[in-house]
Amino acid sequence: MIINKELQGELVCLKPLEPEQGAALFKIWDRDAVYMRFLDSEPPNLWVESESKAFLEEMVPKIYFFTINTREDEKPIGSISLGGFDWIAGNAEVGIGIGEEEYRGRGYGTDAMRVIVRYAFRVLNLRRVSLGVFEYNPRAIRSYEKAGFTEEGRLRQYVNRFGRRWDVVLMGILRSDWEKLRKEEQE
Amino acid sequence: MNNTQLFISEHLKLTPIDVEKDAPVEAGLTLDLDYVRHLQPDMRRPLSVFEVKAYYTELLKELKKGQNQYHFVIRRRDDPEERVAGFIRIRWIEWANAHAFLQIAIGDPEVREQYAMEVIELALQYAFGELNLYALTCTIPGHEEQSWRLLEQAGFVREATQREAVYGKGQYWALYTYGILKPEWEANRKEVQA
Repeated sequence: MIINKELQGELVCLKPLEPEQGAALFKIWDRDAVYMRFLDSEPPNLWVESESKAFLEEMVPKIYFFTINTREDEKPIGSISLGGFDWIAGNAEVGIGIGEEEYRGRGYGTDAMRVIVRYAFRVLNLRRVSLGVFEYNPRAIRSYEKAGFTEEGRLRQYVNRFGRRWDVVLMGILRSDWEKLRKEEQE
Repeated sequence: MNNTQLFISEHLKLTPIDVEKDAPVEAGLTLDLDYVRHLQPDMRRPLSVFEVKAYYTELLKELKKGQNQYHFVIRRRDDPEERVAGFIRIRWIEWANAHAFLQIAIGDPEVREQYAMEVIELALQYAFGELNLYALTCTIPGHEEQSWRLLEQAGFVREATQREAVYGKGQYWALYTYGILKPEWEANRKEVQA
């Protein structure tokens, strides 16, 4: 079996998302409204599986879409994507979700994020990676900080949820931030 | 009560797109590469008339499809030919959050110098006063200083600085995100009226 080390971390390995498999997984994960409120600012909604598949078939060429799999037993536990590429500035946006509840808060997401950031800089030659996260998801914010991201500001009161308005926290990591982190780790 | 206009101001008017008439004029505006990003975010060259027409066709299709964006062409009232001077677009509207992104593109240098504040006022009047949105977001590359200073003057707040997120004029720049909330707009208006 060929192992792609660029797409492998300590706990997880990333594999290209097959639209058919993705649609089947999303059908299950989308039913978890708590999960969906972490992923999207729009109200959670349910999609017909064939429509999800058609949507993914359309997105796959434009977005680098991966499933996050445990290295232990190759179980798909979530998805991660790089999109919104600006190849001139070398910027892209990352999105991540751990759909399988029992794998949240155990370092799998942080590991996947470290892998995609390394991939963005080492393989795609990007200069920065960006993301947005809801203020009401402090666990995710801590995870992104662990992976090297810094808060760069907040879109004030963007989301209307749970009876009040919440900010979207914008975070980013530059290649220079990442190189500095790697140096510190080696020392 | 029902006594305010939305599509006309002292010096400007807002209209829909006129494909045949506007395409050659707007293609001309894309000679300014700071303007072309408003039409095609990843494009760094002027567009042909053919490309602008294709862009209109796609845009009109999108506008017809849904209620999550609005597009108005800016024209000068004193221009007998009423050439396109730019546009206002309110897009990616999320009704549940009463949030949208605001795009203001002004290609006519005179309109930018003299009437930019009038354009912003028309846009905010529509977004807050008519669509009842609560928060608006606007992103501007750091090198477009005139544009972000105008937003600040209009009451927008710089909310985020994405470091080195854009490249232009030979170097990397921050991408600024500006925001304004409905109560801030209302307070500013009261101040102006007082």
